[in-house]
Amino acid sequence: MDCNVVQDKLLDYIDGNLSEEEEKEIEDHLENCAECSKEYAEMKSTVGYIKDKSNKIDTNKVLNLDPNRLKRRFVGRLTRIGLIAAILSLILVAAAFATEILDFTKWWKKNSEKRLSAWEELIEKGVGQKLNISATDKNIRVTAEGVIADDINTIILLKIEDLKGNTRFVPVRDISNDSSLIVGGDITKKYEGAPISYEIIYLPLYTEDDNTVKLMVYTSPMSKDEGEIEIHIDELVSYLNESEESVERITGNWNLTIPAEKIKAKHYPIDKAIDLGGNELTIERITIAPTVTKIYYKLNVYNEENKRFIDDVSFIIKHGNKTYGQSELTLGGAMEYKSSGVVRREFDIESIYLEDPKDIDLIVNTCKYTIKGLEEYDIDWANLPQVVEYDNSKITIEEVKYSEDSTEVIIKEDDSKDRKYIRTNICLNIGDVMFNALQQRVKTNYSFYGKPLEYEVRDSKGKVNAKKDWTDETHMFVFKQKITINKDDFDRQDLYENSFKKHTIPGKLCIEGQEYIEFPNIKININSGK
Amino acid sequence: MKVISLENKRLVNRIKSGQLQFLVQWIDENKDRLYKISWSYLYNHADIEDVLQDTLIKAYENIHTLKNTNYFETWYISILINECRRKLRRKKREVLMESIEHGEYYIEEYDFFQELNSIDDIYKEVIVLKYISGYTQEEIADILGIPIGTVKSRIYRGLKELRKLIKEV
Repeated sequence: MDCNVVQDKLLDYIDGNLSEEEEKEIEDHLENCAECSKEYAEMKSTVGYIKDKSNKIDTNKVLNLDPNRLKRRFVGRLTRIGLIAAILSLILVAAAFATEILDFTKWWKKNSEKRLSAWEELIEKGVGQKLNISATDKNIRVTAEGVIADDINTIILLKIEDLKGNTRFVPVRDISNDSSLIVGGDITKKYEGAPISYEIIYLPLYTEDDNTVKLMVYTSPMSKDEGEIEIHIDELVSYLNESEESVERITGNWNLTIPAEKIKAKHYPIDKAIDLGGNELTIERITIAPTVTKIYYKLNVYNEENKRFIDDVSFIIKHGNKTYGQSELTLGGAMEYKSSGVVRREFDIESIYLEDPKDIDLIVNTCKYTIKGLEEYDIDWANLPQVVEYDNSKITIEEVKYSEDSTEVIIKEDDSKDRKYIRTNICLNIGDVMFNALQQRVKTNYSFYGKPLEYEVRDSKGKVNAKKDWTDETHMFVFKQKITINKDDFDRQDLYENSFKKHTIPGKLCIEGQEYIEFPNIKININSGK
Repeated sequence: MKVISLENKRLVNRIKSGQLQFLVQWIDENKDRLYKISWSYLYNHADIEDVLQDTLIKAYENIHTLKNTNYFETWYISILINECRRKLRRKKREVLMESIEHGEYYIEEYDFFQELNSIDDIYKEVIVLKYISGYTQEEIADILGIPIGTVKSRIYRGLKELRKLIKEV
């Protein structure tokens, strides 16, 4: 054995990974070769040194890992109206263009009006408590205007007024979910040790006055039938600022203690299974509470035989001539999300508590689903347009536009008249980027998905919805999509900047499935008298 | 791989279905090596906890990208290293300063990790995985996605570099 071979095997020798024979050969060599022997001694002592030092790392410290932190994030993300809540509570700086502020304000006004009128209707009919309790600090007055508490929610309406200036202030809530508004007192904690800030969602509501924002605060049910709720705010921030520089923050102390009574809800077990085109949907129970009518259901989301994946189901309730739709007051129910198997979900319908009907029809109103089936296509990016076939439809890759900061790909959907699907789930997978750029070679794709570029907003009859009033039936019928690979996206994903250039030319085009909507109109009669 | 493949499969399925308590349990069982890897980058309990929590989330969000469940552990470690780097980059060396200022107990060990950190990253990571966390060369090849020959030469080179820095040995 010569020195090179020996040195090549030294590591394995130190590890004790060699055969007896090889070991013997190396030992013999080391005895007779001063250089290799020195090399071996140094190697061994270095390894020993590393092991010795690393053994002093105290790994016996308690790790507080919380799997619920993540799940909550997921549930939150997929809660129907929770999403709006997230948007509303995070928009501190409006986009720089006045038109976008106007658009947002319009939408915000409408959303706020609906919510406030749902609230007022209940308060007027004597559900919940009207209040006028306020606290003033730093020339800002926070007033509790009312509270409605039941077995499902506790909802508090606050008013925040800037007494000296003309600014709309809201409590601070940053992305990590730390809220400067805390609710305590007789409120149930979801689980022991849960930070109370996780339990609160609040929506800023529009008022005509420039110095006033109303705030709908949602938290867990009360722990007692009668008790007190404490509200504490320690920082406020200006809402809808024109730029980062104009964001105004005020720290102070606004503490309110309000009395509240919990109203009991009525629970009706149903346990009825329905076939939704091959996926089983079971209505488990209905809870009729003052703030909301909650449908609890379970759903087999994926049918392997026909590759049908149900994205979302919506319900309405009919009683006499009246139809009750999705709740405007509450945040929408929790939605468990899985790619297959059975999920448990909730759907919030507006309150029917006061009507207290004995005989109602629960109707499965809409079902949005995706027929899955992953196909990858090699695209000749230099010679577009190119047509690919997917499940009897023709998808056209029209063009690709390169610029310094982004790459845009324009894709046309099938344009035949009898097209059934409403949108193709299409993406560009940039393989390995996420980790590769960090010198990691985990086989992970980062997918850039198509966004609707040309589309119609349609109603249940397939007609164009001119009012663009968004209901469960409304859906986007997409003609063209755009996939943008942005430099910003790379940055946001924490990828090195220079990796962007390497990947601006997209790889394969990926079609994951096509979305459909149907209106099953399946009726379940519920007679509470029986 | 010393983890039995069936158990891996079960674990991965449980993670997929959102039963993350099993992942937390797995992390706890492998705490020693996970902790040491993170420590090699971060030297600070709070940051290590953060990184392990972030890795948990990342793993859950990306579990569908794991094609072969046999590689769960190496896959997980690669995410962990990635998260450690990310944290470190964010903190831009503040970590090191902070720990040295506040850490009265591990002065000697900080010296060591400073040494370890002054060698090139590609050598450092193989040394950490091999001698601090005890992975085999094959496993390291999987974690880093490089040929086993490269793993070997990097370990060798890393040990030599480190050797130069350690005066007292």
